[in-house]
Amino acid sequence: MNTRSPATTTWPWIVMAVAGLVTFVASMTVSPDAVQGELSRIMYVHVPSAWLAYLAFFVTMGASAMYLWKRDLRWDRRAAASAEIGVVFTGMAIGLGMIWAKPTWGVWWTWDARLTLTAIMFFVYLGYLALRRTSEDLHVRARRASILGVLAVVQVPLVHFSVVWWRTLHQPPTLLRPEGPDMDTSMVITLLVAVIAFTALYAAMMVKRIELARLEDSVLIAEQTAIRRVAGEAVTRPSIERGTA
Amino acid sequence: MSFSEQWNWVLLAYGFTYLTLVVFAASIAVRISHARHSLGDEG
Repeated sequence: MNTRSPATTTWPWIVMAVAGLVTFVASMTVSPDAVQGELSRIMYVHVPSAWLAYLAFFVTMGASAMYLWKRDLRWDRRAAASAEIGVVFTGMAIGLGMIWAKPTWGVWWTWDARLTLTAIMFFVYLGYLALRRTSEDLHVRARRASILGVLAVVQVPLVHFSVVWWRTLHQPPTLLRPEGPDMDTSMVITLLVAVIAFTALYAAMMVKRIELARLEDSVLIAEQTAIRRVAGEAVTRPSIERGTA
Repeated sequence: MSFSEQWNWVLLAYGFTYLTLVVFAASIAVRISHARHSLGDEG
């Protein structure tokens, strides 16, 4: 069985490496913030991580809805791939936020609305990944996961607007706000470069993660076919023996 | 906070970021390799 697609073999790894390098060079060469100093460099990985979590969970929602409509497992694999990447980037956003919080707020963690809702979102999508392990029937698994994948996305606007709707320690948006960005132009450009690089990183990871999902489904189908063949032999052999006796 | 202390936090953040990304990418590569092996495709 040829499971390797030449078009999806090597280039995603190259894109990931280049995206990581571009982000690093851009964020290390920009001037530091006048107030936060060098600590402001954490923003260039913290904000893109949070952005990618949003993007990944919206893609999961869209792909899940497409599965429920078309009943095509390719959409389920896209949803699962995006959810797993989204969980990784949510974990990164939380971890980087904690590393940034300690020297600026004086604490690693506080039960602020933004932080608490992000943590809840992280655990809900971990639950999504766990739910995918509750059935080996590909369509049963896909149906259950797709329903959660569509419903869970309501958390994304809750997380994003939590700093506007509630009084929080976390600062309100500095880039996406009606009056325009509240940052120096060089910092805005660097942040945009990092966001674009991380988006390319996400796209490359999606290609490889979807390839993995396709292979894992093939392994599952092969195993189930082998089990049915063995079970079939066990059922049919006695009747053959009776017929020949 | 001193200049070097600030850089310690920045290096911790970037170390955490790149370590996470490399480990996750490696986990995808290893799982792809394992699945291919299970399917009998070594190529």
